[in-house]
Amino acid sequence: MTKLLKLSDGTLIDAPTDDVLDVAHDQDLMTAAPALDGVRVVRLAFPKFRDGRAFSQARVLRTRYGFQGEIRASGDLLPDQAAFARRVGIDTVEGINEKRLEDFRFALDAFRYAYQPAEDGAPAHRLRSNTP
Amino acid sequence: MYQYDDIDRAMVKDRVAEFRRQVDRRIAGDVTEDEFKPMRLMNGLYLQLHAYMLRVAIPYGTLSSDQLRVLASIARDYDKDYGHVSTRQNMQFNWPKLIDTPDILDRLADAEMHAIQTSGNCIRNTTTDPFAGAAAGEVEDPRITCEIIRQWSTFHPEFSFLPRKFKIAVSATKEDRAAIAVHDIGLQMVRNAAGDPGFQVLVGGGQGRSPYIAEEIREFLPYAELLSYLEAILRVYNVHGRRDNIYKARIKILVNEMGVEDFRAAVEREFDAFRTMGPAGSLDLPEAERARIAHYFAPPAFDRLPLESEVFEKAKANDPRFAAWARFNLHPHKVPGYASATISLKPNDAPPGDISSDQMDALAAIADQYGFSDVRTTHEQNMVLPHLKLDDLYTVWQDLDAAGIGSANAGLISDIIACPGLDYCNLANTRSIPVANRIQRRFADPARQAQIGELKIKISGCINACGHHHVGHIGILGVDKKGEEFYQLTLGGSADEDAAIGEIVGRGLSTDDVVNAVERVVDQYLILRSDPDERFIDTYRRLGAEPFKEALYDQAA
Repeated sequence: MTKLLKLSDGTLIDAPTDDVLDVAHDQDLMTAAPALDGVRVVRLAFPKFRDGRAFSQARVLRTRYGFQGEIRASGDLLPDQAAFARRVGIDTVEGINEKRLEDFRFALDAFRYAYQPAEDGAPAHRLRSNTP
Repeated sequence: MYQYDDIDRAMVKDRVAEFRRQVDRRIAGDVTEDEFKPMRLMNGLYLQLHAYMLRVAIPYGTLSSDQLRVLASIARDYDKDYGHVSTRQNMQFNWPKLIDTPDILDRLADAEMHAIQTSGNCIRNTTTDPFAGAAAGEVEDPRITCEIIRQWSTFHPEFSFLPRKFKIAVSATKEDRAAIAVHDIGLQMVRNAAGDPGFQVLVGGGQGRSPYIAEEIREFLPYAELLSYLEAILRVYNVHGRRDNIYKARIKILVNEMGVEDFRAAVEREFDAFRTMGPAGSLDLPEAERARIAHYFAPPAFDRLPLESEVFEKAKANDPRFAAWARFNLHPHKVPGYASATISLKPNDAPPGDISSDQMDALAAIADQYGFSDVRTTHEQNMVLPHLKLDDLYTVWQDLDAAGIGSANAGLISDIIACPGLDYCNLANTRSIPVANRIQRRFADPARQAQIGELKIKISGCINACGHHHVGHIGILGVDKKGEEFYQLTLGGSADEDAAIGEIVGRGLSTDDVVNAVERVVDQYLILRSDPDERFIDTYRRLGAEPFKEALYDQAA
């Protein structure tokens, strides 16, 4: 059974058996939407951790096409990228090295704030109380 | 200058805690160097030829005197008592121990500083005019825009794993002192016909092995829509930028391969999509937040002074060394009775851009006493005191001179940009610093330097062009030929509002020949110039490379 790391709380869960729509890492979602009708899970790929195209794909899926289902990441995602993944709207990561589970959990809680608007919280400027 | 609130402070402190854990795990052997590398790079920690190098961010080149003292203390406690100003206005420490780096970052964080995104394939430190807030003719202080960009780009979830590094520069005056045309994005602040502020947006400039002057993709972008537009450019780059070849991964290659028209169309399409998201989805800052940031860059409390200073004029008349410094190192200030001063970090026979701990402390004390505690770094590897009274200049210069940072050579032939080269860098083919020092020695006579006037020499020890040789009036590129160091000259480059890539002239020169060649070019310029006010670059633009090539090879043959 494939295990998934849930980015919302850092738990490991069994992957549900839904059909998955795979979107290749080099597919341009800006100009053409994938066929999302009836799709519950979209899987994005990180062929190498350095290849950050899926971060853009996730944000386009959420903000442009209003995709509400699960966005799953697969491939070579580093623990230090987990919080970025959550912020662009990725829900789960498939196939992580379980030896690095603690690193993932640490990274998910490492930062209290973010400057940019994102899927998982308000940007810093909306939380600022002080005015000079 | 900008001051952190609890949120900004939490941001850098959380980063230090995360990095401390990463370093602990590396030292314990729980992560390999391969796994550690991307993490240390995100924190500005490089591995060079002989040691680690830590690059500390100096956002848009602005420092308080207290922050400068913290940098001095880091150099003293953790390094070899000096720091090095980089061409991104940052400060590099060349000898830190890995185990000390979390403590260094902690000390920086306490002083509202960091090393975030000073390396890696992400958005790097935004650079600007070192005279920001002091220069005449600004649309507004460009550091407001730079700080807005700093916050937007820090830990950007979508743009931290780009095809390659990404550099933005902002200029707010017609005169470009931030080299915006050789940046991935250059932002020129302008006003439109209605008088509203905004930006002319340039994209795709850069140096490295394929130099390009940036192209305009927007004549006028409304001020309030900057972040949406930047986001659109970065997204098009993140999705379409090449990832198959590190040397073709910068945005300049993408713009060139797509063509500027298609690139613009793709950006505008994305930009429109952001705009239709409405205020709830908007990426742009609300006006209240913009105003909060802008408030920190309000001008200091300048005195009302006469335009001229008797003390200053008298000192110049009595002390020729001071007169030379005043002639070359001062820049006009927008407020009567004030000037901005370039603190040259280019004394003869020292690595260009280096400054010792004691010198940093001395400069901080001078800034406190005479300069509103405001210090800048420049992309030409110098520092600046932006706000000084003319009345105080003689005392200021005497203090600088006593500290060994009073060289009167800003903009002259000895004010050389040089990359660290083979003395430090694992990418270099040749040394750069010794070549800079030999040129300085050849032209050591101050009268000769003054006669030559403005001449910008820039030296890179390899094709990556960190020493900006492409935009040197005289550029020098080090190349390795079968294990021997050779140097290639370029002429006519420029990084200002008339930006140009220098033209390669002739064959490579040996280490012994390169200084002679520079001298032949300079002597030829002195013969060719129409009058003593015609700068080298003006003569070159008037006559082209040909007469200089003749001078080079007639005598070299």
